[in-house]
Amino acid sequence: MQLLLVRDVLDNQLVDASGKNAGKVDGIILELREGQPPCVRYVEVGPITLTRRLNRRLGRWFARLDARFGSGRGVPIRFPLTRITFEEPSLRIDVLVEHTPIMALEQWLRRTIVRRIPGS
Amino acid sequence: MKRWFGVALGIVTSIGGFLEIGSITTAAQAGADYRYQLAWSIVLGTICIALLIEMSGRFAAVSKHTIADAMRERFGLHFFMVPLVLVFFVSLLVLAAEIGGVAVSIELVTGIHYPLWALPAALLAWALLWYGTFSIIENGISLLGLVTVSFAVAAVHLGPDWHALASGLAPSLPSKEPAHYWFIAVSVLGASVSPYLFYFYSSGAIEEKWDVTHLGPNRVIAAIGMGFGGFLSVAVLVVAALVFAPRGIKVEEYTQLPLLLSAPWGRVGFGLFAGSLFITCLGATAEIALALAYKIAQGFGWNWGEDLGPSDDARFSLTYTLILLVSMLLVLVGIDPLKLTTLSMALTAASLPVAILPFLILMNDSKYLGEHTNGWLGNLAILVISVLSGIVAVVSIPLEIIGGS
Amino acid sequence: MSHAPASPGDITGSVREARVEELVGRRLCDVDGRKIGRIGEIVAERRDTGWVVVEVHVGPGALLERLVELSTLVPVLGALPRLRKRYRVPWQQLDLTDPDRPRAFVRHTDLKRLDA
Repeated sequence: MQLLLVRDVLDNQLVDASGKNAGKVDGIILELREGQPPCVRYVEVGPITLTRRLNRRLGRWFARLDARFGSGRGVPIRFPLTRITFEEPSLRIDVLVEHTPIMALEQWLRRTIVRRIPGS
Repeated sequence: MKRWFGVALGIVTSIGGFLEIGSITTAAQAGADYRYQLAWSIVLGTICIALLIEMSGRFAAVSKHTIADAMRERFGLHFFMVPLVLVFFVSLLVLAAEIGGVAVSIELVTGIHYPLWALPAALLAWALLWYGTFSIIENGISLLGLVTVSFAVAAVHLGPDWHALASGLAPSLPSKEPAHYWFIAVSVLGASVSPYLFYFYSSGAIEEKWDVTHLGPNRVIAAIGMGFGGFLSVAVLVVAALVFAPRGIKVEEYTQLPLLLSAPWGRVGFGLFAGSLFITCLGATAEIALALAYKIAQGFGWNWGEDLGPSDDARFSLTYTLILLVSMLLVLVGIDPLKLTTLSMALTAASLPVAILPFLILMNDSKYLGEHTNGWLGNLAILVISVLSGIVAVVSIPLEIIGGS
Repeated sequence: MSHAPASPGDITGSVREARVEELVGRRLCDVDGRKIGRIGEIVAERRDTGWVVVEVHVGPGALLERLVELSTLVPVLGALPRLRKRYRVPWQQLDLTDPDRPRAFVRHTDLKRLDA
């Protein structure tokens, strides 16, 4: 079975095990090996990878900013490709996105702003 | 039975939701300056948006993607960002014009100057989005928007020259001031063919879980709903031709607009105009803010949905909040709503090729649409209209500014 | 799920990495340094150890591809589709020592054409 990485993986929608949106595939990491075909190891998700695509310096700056928000932050979020199932119209990962740093900004906004507005 | 009720509702909401400050202003200017001669531009714009809306609904129903989501997926991040940024900035200006429209409608009734109403207007639209659902916004506001049928009644009541109107439905060369003529023509097109509409429509189709069984109703809604909406725009043009043109009035101040309905009907007409402006601009404000937030959320893969509560899609909800805030500031500082409207409509027309052509490629991709891709006629119509309007707009906008209109 | 530093072609321990999103659109040159085209697609296959890259497709570049697509909607510009020269480059012929400057180990005349 063949996979076209640009058409079928990169920039495609990810959903988590519960069907919630988990972002877009912002990057794909290849592992280069001597004398062997490159291995497609991970997909990357998140604004660090996204900003890096627009401009490498911008990506580094964003990573430094993100690192201020706690330990384990400031680096891109990776999922092994082997944990992804390919089902139209999205790609499904076998985790719940609420437990990953993908939702960090969403959760922070929810806590600090949205929940303070009456009737939310 | 339920399906046909949905179709009827869809048609009615399309009619009620068609007019807003852009289409009212540009149709009024066209009627005031050229009587019936520019009626063809409304017809052309209506045909174009009807085709695009049908495509938008078809795309969502078959592919189960929204347009923004598919654009990022198909074209990649960099090619997605170009139409995103362009449509975003132009739509922000249109949004400011709509908030201005709401504020002006309140000024007409209260006499208090419009910038003071910018914040309440934006807040009202925000509350609709924050606390409402997709159905309430789509159906509720658009049903109230049926008050705009009063323009059609006024047009018939004033007794137009039907023969001249019929001639105006066919394209013609300008009788005077060609640069201004073409500028008004593209502004009318920009008012009818707003890119935010098809982002909004495809998102709505996904929110309402459309599938291939909705294709027939989708076609009917697009054709009849948009068709009748365009008919209302022509009605505004006719009323302007009968109210402004004979008096030699050029529409340059927003305070002149109520004359459209107050001339035939006095105070009742004035009230109807203020009510029409309020409802239609409020609806458009909510739609544009939602459409832009949809585009960003879908392009970046966030959770989104008007039917979700803000706690479930904080980024999406705060995006439309910020968008409303920024647009509101343009009105708050006192930028003239009429000038803002005319400019944003022309800029919309200028941006059409960049906004529409990627969508057209998607509509011909069988990976998304299977056997439901576009026919060559639909492709040709959209290609010609969008490219021509882009060229004409790019030429006529500077001429209009230089001409000092 | 894991975190990792984000730099391409970097040696993280003994692992060298490249990024698909940075390879796409990069100009691919042949062994003589002549331009073949731009990397448009990367094809992977499932093996026992996971997914591996089997070949890349090289073509005229994204903007030109989009213009060709538009021209095929209404066939008036017959010449444009002929710009669509695309090649397959199997992984064995690909040199990714420097992912910012990918090269092929062969001459472009030795490459297989991809049917347009």
